[in-house]
Amino acid sequence: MRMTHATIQVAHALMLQPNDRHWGYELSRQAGVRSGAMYPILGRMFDEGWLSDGWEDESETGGKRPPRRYYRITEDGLRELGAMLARAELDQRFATVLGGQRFATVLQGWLA
Amino acid sequence: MPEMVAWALLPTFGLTLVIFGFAPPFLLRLIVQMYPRDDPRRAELMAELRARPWRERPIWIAEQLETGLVEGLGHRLRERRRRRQEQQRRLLESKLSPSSLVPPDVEVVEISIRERSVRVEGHMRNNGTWVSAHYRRKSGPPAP
Repeated sequence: MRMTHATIQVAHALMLQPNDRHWGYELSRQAGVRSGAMYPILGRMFDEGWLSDGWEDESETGGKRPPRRYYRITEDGLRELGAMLARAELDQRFATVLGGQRFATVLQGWLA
Repeated sequence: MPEMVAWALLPTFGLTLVIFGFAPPFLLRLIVQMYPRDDPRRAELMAELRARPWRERPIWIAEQLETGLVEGLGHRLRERRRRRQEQQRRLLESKLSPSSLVPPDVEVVEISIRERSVRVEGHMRNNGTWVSAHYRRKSGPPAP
């Protein structure tokens, strides 16, 4: 998969909570990537087998809204996304991306 | 005076209702049609709309239109082209070597159809089985 700023941002956001379920809206906010770019990235990661998906249970929606699709990182995904982020760490092109992401994460934690 | 202000605000209120209320789900329903019928993105986007705050919805819809045109419609067109090419390839293949045709067990078969005698000959040519049929009236001379 091609390494772009948006891909790295999404990978970073996913790897912040590697064992949790990830939802589209929350992920796009965390990653700071607009949804028009994020869904295609998630689609490619899914096709690569790095992510698995599932649908929200009816008990969670309360029957009031349609169930949402969530993503989980697979074993392959953990390895590949980890390797991608490790490569990005060494790449000067992504220094600002990862630096900004780390700052945002610290800020979010501090505000929470 | 306040009544006049209220009437003047009515179109603005209506427009706001359309832009933030009615239009987003309606437009999204049209946009998801661009994705293939079995694509889970259809249901995913419809559900995601509800998770968005209403203020963000119009912009989000515009983004989905862009993605739908590039990804959904692009995928559909590529799939259609692939299917058409596959059909043409199969047609050409069947013309060259008709796989649907069962070659006769014997080289010459004579059968009778509606008072006509049909003589079927099977022979191999250009790596394919070719069948020629000659028919004639039972009482008359053989047809060409």
